[in-house]
Amino acid sequence: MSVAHSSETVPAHVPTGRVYDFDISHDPLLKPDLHLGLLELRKRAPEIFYTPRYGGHWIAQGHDAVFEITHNHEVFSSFQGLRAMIPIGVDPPQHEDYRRVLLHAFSPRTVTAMTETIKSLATELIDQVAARGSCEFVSEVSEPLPVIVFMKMLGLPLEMMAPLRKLIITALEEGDPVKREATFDEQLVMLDPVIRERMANPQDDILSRIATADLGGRRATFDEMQRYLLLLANAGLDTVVNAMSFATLHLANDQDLQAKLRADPALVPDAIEEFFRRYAVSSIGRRVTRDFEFRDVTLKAGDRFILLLPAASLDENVHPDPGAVVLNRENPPITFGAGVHRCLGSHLARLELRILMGEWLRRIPTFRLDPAKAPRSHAGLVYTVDHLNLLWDGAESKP
Amino acid sequence: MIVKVDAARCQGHGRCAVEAARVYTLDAEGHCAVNGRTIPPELEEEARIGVEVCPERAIALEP
Ligand code: HEM
Ligand code: SF4
Repeated sequence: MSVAHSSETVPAHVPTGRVYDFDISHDPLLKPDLHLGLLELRKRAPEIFYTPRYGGHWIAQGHDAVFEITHNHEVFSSFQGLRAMIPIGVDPPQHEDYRRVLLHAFSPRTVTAMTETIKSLATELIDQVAARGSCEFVSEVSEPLPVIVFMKMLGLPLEMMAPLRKLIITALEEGDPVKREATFDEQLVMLDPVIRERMANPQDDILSRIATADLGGRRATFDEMQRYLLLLANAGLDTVVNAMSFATLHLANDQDLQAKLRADPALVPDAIEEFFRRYAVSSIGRRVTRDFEFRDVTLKAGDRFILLLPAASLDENVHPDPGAVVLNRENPPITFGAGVHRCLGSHLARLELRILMGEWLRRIPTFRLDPAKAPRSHAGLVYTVDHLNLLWDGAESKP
Repeated sequence: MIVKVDAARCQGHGRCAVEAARVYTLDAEGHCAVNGRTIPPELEEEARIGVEVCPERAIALEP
């Protein structure tokens, strides 16, 4: 499993002082608690360092370094080769046309109009577990909600919900990129007819909007439609699922904050903002396009970067006492990225979390972790809560 | 919250106005036209998005 820390994977242009052996997916530092592990990483490794793992790559873990990199798309390209997802894997100037097509669908106005829909879905899911006194939060609440919301936004036929949801969840769980690609192909088998249908016969949904949008004097091709849809289906879902799960995990452990939010639900939005920072879930990749001097580091064309946003959101220079959960911090976090690719779905994510957390606290009494079933999480490009067993007052753990 | 736009940095990409249209507007040349504007609390989040997406880092927010 562990790759030897060998000079083969540390190229000559990387000075020894910049090398720190860190496995973004399996590092022992990340156990038992991913984010506490990152706080420790911040003490041990420089803001920008090189790890020999996975063929060797740079890691940026400081807020400012990440901000600069995401603002310099000429040197730090988002193009990762093969089937580039749209718009996340496409660089400017082409990126701008691609992104513009989606702006309306994810704007604060459009998203706010979905409040009632999301609320009724959330209450339905919560009511299914409320009387039981316990639940496995991920599979019963945080996973179904964003998936169903997404299906509705795309206007996918109801009978497709169950099978497509299963495929998306399989993709979310699949760590191996090659196998993940295979599940994308399976999703497309199901989605292709819908794409064809909307291209021929546009309606009032996101897919039709993409199909009829002006991409610099032309329409999207079938292949582009697929690359849009795969990104929306896969990148916008596990992020929300896990942001919800980490926030709820925190509240299960922090009875003071839980009581405070129950007493004053108007604080929920501020708490969500802080959970986005304290428990950032996704890291992103960039590729260096040309030799470049960056903050005392010499980069070579072709070098790969992982921007460790969950660590950058814990940067003590920007967020003092970064491990504490403090409402109304001064600086916004870098959880949603920055620069031209800054997350388009943040309004939707925020709304889903606010509604879910608000309804959860209203309908479920004081809850805590089930002592018989400890939660489990794992690292990767998206930090994931595998399961989160909760018990609420008056209930006992069931085997 | 007040928006500060550094005119020397702003290159007229118009990203701010596209991504956060309720906060940012452009002048006839396409440069950001809201220097000094006071932002109501409900638009603060969008104001921040302008800061985050501006490729020239021309926008700053003051309390
Ligand atoms: C808590 C939840 C979420 C987190 C933490 C998150 C995080 C991110 C990050 C860090 C990026 C930047 C990627 C890069 O620079 O390479 C991004 C981009 C993106 N996100 Fe999200 N995201 C979330 C929810 C969503 C949702 C709900 C959607 C909508 C379905 C969505 C759609 C997108 C899209 C389309 C992009 C690409 C934008 C572009 O390339 O111009 N995200 N997200
Ligand atoms: S995005 Fe930045 S550079 Fe572009 S118009 Fe707005 S302030 Fe100016």
